Amino acid sequence: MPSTLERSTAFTRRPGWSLYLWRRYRLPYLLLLPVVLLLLLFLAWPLASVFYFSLRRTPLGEPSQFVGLDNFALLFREARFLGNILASLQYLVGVLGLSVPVAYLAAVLISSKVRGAGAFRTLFLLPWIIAPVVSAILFRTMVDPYTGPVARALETLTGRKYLFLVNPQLAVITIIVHSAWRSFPLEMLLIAAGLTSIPQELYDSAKVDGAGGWAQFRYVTLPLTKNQLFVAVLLITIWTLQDAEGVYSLTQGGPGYTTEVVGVRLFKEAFIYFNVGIAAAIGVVLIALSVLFMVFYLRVLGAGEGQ
Amino acid sequence: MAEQRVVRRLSRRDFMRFSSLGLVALGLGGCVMPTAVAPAASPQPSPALKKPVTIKWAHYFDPLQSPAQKFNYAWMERMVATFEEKYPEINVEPEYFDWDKIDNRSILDYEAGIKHDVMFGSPQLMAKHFQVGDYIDLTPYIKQWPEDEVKDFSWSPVWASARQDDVQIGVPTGVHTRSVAYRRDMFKEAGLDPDTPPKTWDECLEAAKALTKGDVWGLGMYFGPSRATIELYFAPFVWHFGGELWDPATKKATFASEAGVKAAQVIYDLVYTHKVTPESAIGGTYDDAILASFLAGRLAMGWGFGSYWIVSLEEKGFIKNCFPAKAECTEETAGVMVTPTAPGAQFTNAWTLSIHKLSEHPAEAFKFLEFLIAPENLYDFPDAGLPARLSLWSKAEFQSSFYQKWLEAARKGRPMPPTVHYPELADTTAACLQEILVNKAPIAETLKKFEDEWNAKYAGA
Amino acid sequence: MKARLRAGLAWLGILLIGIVVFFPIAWGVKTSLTAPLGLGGGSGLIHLQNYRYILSQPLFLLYVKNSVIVSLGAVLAAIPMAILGGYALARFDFPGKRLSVLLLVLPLLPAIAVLVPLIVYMRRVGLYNTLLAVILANVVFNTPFAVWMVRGFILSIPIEIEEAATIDGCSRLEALWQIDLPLAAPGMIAVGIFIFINSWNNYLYAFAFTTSPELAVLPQALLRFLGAWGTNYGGLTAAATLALLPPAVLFLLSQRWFIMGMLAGTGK
Repeated sequence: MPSTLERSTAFTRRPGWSLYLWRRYRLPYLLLLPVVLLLLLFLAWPLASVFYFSLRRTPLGEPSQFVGLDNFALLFREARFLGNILASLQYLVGVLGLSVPVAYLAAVLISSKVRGAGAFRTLFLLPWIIAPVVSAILFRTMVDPYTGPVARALETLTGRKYLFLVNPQLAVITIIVHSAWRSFPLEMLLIAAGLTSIPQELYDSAKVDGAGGWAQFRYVTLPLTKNQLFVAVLLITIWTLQDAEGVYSLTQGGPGYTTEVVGVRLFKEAFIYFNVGIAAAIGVVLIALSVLFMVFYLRVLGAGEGQ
Repeated sequence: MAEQRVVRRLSRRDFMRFSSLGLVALGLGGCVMPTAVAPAASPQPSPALKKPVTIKWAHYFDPLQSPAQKFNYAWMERMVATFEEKYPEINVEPEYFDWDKIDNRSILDYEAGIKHDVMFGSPQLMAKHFQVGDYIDLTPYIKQWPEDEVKDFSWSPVWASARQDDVQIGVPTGVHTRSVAYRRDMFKEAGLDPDTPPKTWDECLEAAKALTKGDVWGLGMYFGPSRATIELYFAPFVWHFGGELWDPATKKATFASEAGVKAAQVIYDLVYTHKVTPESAIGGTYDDAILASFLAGRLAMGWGFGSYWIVSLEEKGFIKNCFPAKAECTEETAGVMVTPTAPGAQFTNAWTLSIHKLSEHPAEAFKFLEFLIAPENLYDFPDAGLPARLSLWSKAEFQSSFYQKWLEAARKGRPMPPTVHYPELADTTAACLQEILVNKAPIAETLKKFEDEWNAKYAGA
Repeated sequence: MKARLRAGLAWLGILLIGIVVFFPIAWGVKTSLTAPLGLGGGSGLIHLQNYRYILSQPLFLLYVKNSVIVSLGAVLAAIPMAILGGYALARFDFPGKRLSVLLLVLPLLPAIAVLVPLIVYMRRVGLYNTLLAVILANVVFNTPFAVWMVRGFILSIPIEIEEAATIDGCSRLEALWQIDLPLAAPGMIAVGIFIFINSWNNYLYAFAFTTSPELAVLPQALLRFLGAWGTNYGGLTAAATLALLPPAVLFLLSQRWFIMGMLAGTGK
């Protein structure tokens, strides 16, 4: 009985090119059909909707009207919204800057030949597994100036009272630390996975060449974990940019608007104020930001996973 | 050899196919079956009788919240049981919603075509409900009430907020009002008479200064990111100075007016000039800033102390025999005073009962609503401990000076401005106050900046 | 000697990171073991009342059930699709391949941005207020990542093995079943667990697509503790600790494969 391969090659010799195309590529198209269909139905249409709604204003209980780019004009003229974007960027940079180095460190440690280190893997994973709302509330109680262990420890150490949720800089630090805490397990896992594939010989030969610890890291570890780093950073960026409930449960965007990241603003506009047009416009901006970052990462970390 | 391979391949193939089919079936079954059962609009007939009419009651009492609050849940269950006994042809199905989401759910479900019947609602969001039209006009039913009955409710400012022109969409149930809780023992220590607490704002400020010493703050307030800020701390002062937060004629926010500036100045001075209010009031939660701090002895006076916390005072032993209310109610370590701002400059609130526009049985729903607010049932309504019916206040249990002060507070109150964009207004003013306090920003300009931000989007709406 | 020093330093590092990681959780567990207000509760360091109370509430078990349905449903729906799609992308070259890759990038975009239109859409197709809508949302936003990972696993399997099987007479799909899947099993497990954990902790989709209280999932139930009369921290942390257990246990059981899978999926 001829195999599929044999059958398909037999067709190349027959006339009827489009039939050939379908017959030849039928299998992959069929295989991809469920996914593509799902995405087209449930994502492409809503995505188009966001753009559509962002150009309209829909007062509660009334039909929507076309307003062109009014919503965007309003947003970009608003100091608050520009602040939102800056807050998001600051948040992202802080989270990545804090979590990636720690993730690398932790990955190296748990992958090291030291006995029993691997057992910590599950423990280190806990921040990712715990529900975002819960960890946010936990952090909030930890920094309470009167009953929170972190705030009180700082007070005993330095003699000054630190109001984490009142002082804007401390509030920003709190949300960054919280998110970095949540993000680092996944990054660590990905990087650790990458580390296991690096043969020990490379490190040995680097040592022979006179490379110290840092140089080994820079010339062996880093390049060979580039792919995992790309995935990790991409995932965490997307997570962080769209984070709403994590920050909202911690600070509700305060004090003032200092921790109101775009995700929080979007959440408020869409689900508390019901300003559909503005929310959609913010959504468009958020999507644009995400795309920008994706393109940036592709270039810098050059995933080249074979398009 | 070839045959062996064929045999092995077949059995593995079969196994794979079987198990994958099984998994898919499990998955589908898992998805489809519960969802087929899940949309919970259908009534559950009791085994004995099949009841012809089922109405839903949207409430916010959840036993998961706190076992100490189970008397609220018990009241709810008792209401359902008693009503069903009295009217066996009507079945009541309670449905739980988060207290801060119940209004939005009503609106969203109205737009999605999902029905409800009797629902609790918030007066501050009545303007939204009016615009969306998700509650029915109760006037035809209320017209049938005797005049005394109407008066029993219409004294409350909450009644007014559920009313627009001649349309009434809600009936107040309890009364959430606030007073200023104070420590009688600390008053004595500072040489103040605990039985005559301050009656004017100046007296209050002086007392606060005298009471602030050591770790104790004279006047606890809250300016964090929550609606409590505008309702209990900013609005009263704006009103005290004769201003308004929002002008119904022009539909513009007016909190940057002269009165607003004075109000913000008062708040600023409390924290930085007189130093009677802790800086921690600018963040955190309302509960922590007022209730927890007061109970922990960090505050000599707690401004914006809610009637829903009477139970906590009782549990702590600060008051005795006050919850459940008894005639012998006495203020021991702590007492309450009517908020010493100008008359009328106080926010009073309550949960209201309304009927959803999509209700298929409005008459039965109203029957249940009436049942809930009947004196013998409403009296028991533990949520705020304060009766909504004026007549109930003349009962012996509410004659203690403790409760009479609450009555005065309730009478003094007024509702929030009836703007459709109330949540935005609350958030904007809170953010504004935080910016003023945290950055020590110039008050008039900052107020104007935030007022402009709000008006740019919502003026005239 | 140097090895001892290195080991010591490594352990110090692990300990420090461990403290930072574990401290908030320990704080949460400690809070869950404190006596709830208003229930008296006697003296003693550990009070299990919070746990007993929560586990005795039938509502809580309902929320657990809903969460299980949503998470399992998402995994069971996403994995088969991911397998098929990932195989296609790994082994075939066809016109429109680039487009498919683009399509896979879409769900990386912020879900919250498209949530409101998605709600309207769910209403139109009659799926609003069903668990199926929540499952679908989780599937939509997780499948592309799964497809990408499966593609990675399959790419890491030398094509010669498949070709050998095909020569012996299997079709390509049969080769997929018998050769690739067993080899890529660790990866499937990794992806499955990833999707499970994401769905388990997800609050947004359930919040957006369901309104009936009977359809609530655990993250929503946790928010209930922030009540109208103040927060019940003891109850909240106890419920959260309970909610933490299933994903943690799942991960514990499948650690090795998870790591292997992550490596294979992101390797090439």
